[in-house]
Amino acid sequence: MPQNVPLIHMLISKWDMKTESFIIKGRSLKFSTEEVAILIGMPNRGIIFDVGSAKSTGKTSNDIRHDIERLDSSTRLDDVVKCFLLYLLSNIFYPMANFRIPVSIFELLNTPELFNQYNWPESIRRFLVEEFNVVATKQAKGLGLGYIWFLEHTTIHAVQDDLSRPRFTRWDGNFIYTEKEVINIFADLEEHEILMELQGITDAEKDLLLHLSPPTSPIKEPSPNRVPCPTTAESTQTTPASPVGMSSPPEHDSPTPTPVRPVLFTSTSHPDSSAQPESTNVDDQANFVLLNKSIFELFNKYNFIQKKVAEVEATNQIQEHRIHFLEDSMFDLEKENSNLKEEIKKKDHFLMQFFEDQFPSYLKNYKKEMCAPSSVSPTAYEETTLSEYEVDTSILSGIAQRVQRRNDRKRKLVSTPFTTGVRKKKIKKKVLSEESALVASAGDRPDEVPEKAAVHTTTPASQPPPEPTPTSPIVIPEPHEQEDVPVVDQPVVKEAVVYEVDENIEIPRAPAAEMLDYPGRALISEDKRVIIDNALKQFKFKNDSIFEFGNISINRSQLDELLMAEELDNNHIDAFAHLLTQKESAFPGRNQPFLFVSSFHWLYYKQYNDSNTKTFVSNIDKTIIRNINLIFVPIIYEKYWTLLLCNLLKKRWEFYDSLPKKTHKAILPEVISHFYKDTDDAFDIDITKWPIKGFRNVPTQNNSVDCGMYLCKYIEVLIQKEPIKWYRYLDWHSNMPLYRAEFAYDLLCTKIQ
Amino acid sequence: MASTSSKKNKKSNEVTILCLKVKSQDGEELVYRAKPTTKLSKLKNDYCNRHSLPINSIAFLFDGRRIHDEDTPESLKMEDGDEIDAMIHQTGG
Repeated sequence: MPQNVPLIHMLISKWDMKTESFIIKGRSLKFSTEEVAILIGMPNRGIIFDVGSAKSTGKTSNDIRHDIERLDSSTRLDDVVKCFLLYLLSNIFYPMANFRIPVSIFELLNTPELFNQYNWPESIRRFLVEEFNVVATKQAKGLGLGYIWFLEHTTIHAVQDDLSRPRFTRWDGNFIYTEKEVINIFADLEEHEILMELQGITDAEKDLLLHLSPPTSPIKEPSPNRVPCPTTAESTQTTPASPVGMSSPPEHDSPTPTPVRPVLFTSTSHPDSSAQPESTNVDDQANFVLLNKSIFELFNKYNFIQKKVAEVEATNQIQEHRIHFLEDSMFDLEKENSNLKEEIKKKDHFLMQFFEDQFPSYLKNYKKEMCAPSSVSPTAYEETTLSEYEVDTSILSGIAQRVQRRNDRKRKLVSTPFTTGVRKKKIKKKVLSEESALVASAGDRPDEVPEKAAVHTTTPASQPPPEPTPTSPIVIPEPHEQEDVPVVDQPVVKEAVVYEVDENIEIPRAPAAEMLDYPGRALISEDKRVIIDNALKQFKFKNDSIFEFGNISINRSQLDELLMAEELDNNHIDAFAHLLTQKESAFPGRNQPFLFVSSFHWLYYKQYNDSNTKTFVSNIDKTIIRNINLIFVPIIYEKYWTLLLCNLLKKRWEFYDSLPKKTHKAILPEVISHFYKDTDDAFDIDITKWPIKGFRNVPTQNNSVDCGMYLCKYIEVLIQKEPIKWYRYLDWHSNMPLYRAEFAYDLLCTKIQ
Repeated sequence: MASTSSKKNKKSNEVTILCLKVKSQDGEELVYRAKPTTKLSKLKNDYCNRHSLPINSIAFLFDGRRIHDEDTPESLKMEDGDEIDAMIHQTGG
């Protein structure tokens, strides 16, 4: 803040301590809080900040200004805020004669968010009044806002920017008066140049002042602005970076009449406290409100923290459980591993034994050829596969014989340890059509000469074989299964299209993404996200099973559908109901007892047009019906899920439709009668006669994929004992990704347990 | 593609190979010959391949119960000529 020292110097001499006003040319100009408030553009309420007589720190206001100049775009916003607050407080609000910053200001900076709770205008006014009082006799000091106030009340210096707010930014710092000039200013000051109110005051500001404290003197029209005083004087050290564009405090080149005083604040009582009873009253009230507010806030924070602690504890427990589980599963896997190894060894041994018994001559050849002991197990596998299809050449003729010879030739070609993979592939390309079936199942196969053992790739391929996988694990054939089937049977089979199931076909395992950026990922809590992410890594293939129960089966691909906001199928719906039932059984009596009718019941009926669907509802009988209040019947019709609820207490059907449309109801009579037909012995009354009630105020979906999830959420809400207030759930559509992720998490938890 | 007639004519001594009918919802039937120890997942896999269906999109139901991947005709006590329902999971949104 520029320290227009001579001006202040002269101004101070006009200070009247008793009335806390300046007496200029016989007029008394009150130095009021409201005016300061308007000058700095801050509200006149809050706690009084006492800059106090606390120790000064080593930092000077110049240092702070330089700090501000050094700020650049890389500075963190918090630091920028702190710097500017510091600048505001140290250079503008509380300029000290020794340019030192009081400790209290630094303390304030630790909590910049509390900055607003202070009453700055009153604080500054008190500070200035106190300073004026101290200084009036001693005649010194540069007191920034004080001289602005003077400028406001006179027309001697023109305003740079009429509209600039807060008001203290309305003057630039490009004028500094010398002592002589100042004396002249005061001497030349004409009566019309002294304004009883602030210069160029707006009506709004006037109202504000009037409202707070009525003016003591009649309002005088401001006179036209005089030509500004010469600014030729030493306008040095302008700081472009300072927010108000004022010149920096002169340190040596401006004529400071009095030496700098290190001690500024004597602990005098505030003489002004009684002078403004009105405003202090207002302050007290405001303070009280503020205090209440902060107490409330603290209370809230306390609650919040408590909650957090509980949460953290809960997560901790969960994590511990998980660690236990992981350790267990590690142990299991190791065990399994060693078991498998043993098994493989056993099987190897058994195979070798078998060959030695069956084809001693071949084995000799084979050993000679291979002479690599490490390749025993894969080749053994091949041989067994061959043996399954070995054919007596005597019963073959024509094509078959030729084919066999060809195979024989090929076999010789590929019998090196490095081509085993290729050979395996060929072996597996076995396709059995009528003729091959004939060949394969032809009985009376005498043990073959080894060279003839490769006939298995016969067959005119009438059906394309499923894609074989070259890296299939060892498949052990069961020799006893090569039971004899009389050849005479075969012509009969020829008539029909019969597909042979190939034992050796390995089911292709399509890999699934290891990492999914599902929409609910950002919404779900950290621990659950970790579990889901790990599970996605663990279940690498699309047909890896995640959840199985009864008819329900959720594979990895279905988990992906769930997470990636795709349509849900009947497995999802049943799985959700199953999980909900599990949860309820853990806390019986918390919600209404309910029953869920598997969605397979309706779906199977609809797909096969088959009324033989009792197995799907075989669990429903009289005793169960007596013990429950609600029966949920999920309906899928034309690729859309709706929920039908049989409310046994109210003796009515309720229909929940997340995409309300009248035509959705059309199917209901069929659903009800189908359900009743399969369960009629469980009911004492004819439930098909009950009325169907629809609901309009339920939350509805805003896309075309969430109806399944809505159905699940309806169930979750409907089982509550309390009356349902649907308006509470109107935000569902925005939380659906979260619900999906939580559902997926619940599914994975069952796997973990 | 029905092959009922062929099965009836089969001789009783063919016990180790079962003929199983897989029935889809539109009434189409496929007949598979399988050993009692063949995993039915292989059958399902072949069925899906022929119909170009993702393997997870259907469930094989036998007497209203889902057939698990490890199940075999033997473990489910299937008999020659038994029907399996290939139920396509229905998604809805």
